[in-house]
Amino acid sequence: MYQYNLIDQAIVDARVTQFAEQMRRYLQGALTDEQFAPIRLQNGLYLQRHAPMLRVAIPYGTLSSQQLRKLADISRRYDRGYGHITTRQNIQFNWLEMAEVPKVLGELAQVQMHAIQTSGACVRNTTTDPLAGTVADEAMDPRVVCELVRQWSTLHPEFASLPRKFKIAVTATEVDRAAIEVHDVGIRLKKHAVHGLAFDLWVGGGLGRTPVIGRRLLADLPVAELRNWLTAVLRVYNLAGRRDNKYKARIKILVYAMGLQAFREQVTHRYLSDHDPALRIESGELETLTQIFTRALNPRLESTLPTNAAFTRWFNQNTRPHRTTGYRVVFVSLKRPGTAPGDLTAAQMEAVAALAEQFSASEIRTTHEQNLVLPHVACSDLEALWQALGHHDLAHPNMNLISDSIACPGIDFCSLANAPSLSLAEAIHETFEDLDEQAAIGPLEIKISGCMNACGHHHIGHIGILGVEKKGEPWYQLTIGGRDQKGAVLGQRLGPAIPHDDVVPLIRRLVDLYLAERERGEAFVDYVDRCGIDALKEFSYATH
Amino acid sequence: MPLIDDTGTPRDAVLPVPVDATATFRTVRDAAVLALAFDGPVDGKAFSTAALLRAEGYTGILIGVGPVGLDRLAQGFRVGFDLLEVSDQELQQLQHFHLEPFPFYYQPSTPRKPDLKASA
Repeated sequence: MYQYNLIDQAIVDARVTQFAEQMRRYLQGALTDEQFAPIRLQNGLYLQRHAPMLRVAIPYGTLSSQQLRKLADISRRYDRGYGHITTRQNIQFNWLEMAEVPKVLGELAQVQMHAIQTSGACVRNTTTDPLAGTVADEAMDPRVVCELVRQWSTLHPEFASLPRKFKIAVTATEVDRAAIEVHDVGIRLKKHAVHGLAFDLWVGGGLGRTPVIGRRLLADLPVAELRNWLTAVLRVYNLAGRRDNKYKARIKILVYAMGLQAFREQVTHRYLSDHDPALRIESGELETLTQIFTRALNPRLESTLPTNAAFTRWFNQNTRPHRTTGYRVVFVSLKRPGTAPGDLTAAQMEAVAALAEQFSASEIRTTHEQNLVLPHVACSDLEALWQALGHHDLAHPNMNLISDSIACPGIDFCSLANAPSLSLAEAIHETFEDLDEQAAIGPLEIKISGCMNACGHHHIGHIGILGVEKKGEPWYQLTIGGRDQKGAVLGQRLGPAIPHDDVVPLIRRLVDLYLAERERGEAFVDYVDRCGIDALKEFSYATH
Repeated sequence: MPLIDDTGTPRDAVLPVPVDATATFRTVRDAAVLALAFDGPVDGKAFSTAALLRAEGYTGILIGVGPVGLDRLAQGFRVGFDLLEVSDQELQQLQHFHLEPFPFYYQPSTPRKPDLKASA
């Protein structure tokens, strides 16, 4: 794992000191709410419906056991004993006292963590494949590039006040597990005959109230020039992006308004005219970082695995192949009945931290589907790990199944939301609690957002649910057929909004229809493609 | 004459931030002093313009005028401003902030020339 050097630590420590002073002056009344807002936001601090919320960065979703223990400790001492994994692979604490936030940031800095740029109109936490460094077909470990982007973008003097937030995702495999096509900038790393390592640059994707699939801006660029190209993109955006209307301020709107070709010409012009040799990534820098991120594992003989049904179900659903013989990647489900998606208690954090130490080289990943990953588990340890996870209610075998839904905090916590999200996730769990049925249904991703800001990524759910307000009551708009892999697709609107209590029954009927009509081996999302939106719309509303 | 009025608004003599810094540079390359307006305390357009003017080779004095924003003081100097002219009220608040709060940065190629003055 990446370890801070003296410069990293000095920057984070200085930011804590600076923010503590800013907070002190705010609490004394020397700064107004308006003056303090951009300051606190760029330090990850929101004022939510009930209390201040702190979003802590987990760069590229990689955590150590020590860091997870500290998060548990903070949640217990400063919050209400739990944390919430977000769709940007970060963690949020929802019940902090404002005055204690500087102390929390100070404690985070002790374990090389921070909340810098987890909010505000700046470059946010760069996300990537949670399986990075474990899969055989990746061009390189994408976290190497993520770390370079993290350093380049942290407290960048030119890009700290962009028109709007700016999200970057990186993938290094053909199967895109980082959803790069729905990010402001997506980077697809690949091997290249001339450059050795190259990348395709995608731009202008995003969800929110104007969902857009990103487009490939440039292809086959040498990785050595990544920072210069990113600088060029950000400069064009910073200079020409709209600031008069925050709903028109994301880069996707600029790309649409200019046209892809004109945007490409401007970016290329900036790259050529502003090229900075100091931004070039030298091969030694790449090699050093690659070594840091590489986990050397000794291949092991394949073990004989238990044959009991419960273990087999968990193994099939929650583990994936590892590139090193004798190892598996283990998903830890944070989608259990009675719990908000992505939530885990302090005790569970401590348990996972200990299990990672024992079984996974002290390394944990967070996923944008709001689960955890133990990336390097020997097959011979799987049974013991499964049993230990089960003791902490963390062995629910539902990865990618209907109960593995993504949900934003919704109106229960978020001051922007129109409608509850968590209660729907819970109702889905209750309706589809039979694990045999979930397995029979197969992959079906439900994503729930409590408002148009789409923090629950509903546009790319196989079934997407959007909370809207109708005469003061929460109603829900369903979309269907969205996805973020194998070529991202935005879901199509199924029909008019429906009341809260009608949502899960409609999903039940759609699933039953799918089970009755699917062809052999046909996944739900493929069935939706085959049926077409019109037929499903008619079915959904004819009997509603 | 101050470049900023009593309300903190840049006067007409100050250039609005141009989108095309290269074209602007051709016009102003020999000017001894150039003032750029901040459109607001969270508007970063002038920061890119300043960085580009410096990258193009502008060597005169570059002044940022208007509400710089409390958290952006050091950033302004790092992108190439020599001087920031703000309202008296903002200056009082800025004086409590360190000009150089960070001992290091990840962006070594940005210039750093701090100075700050009040408009009055």
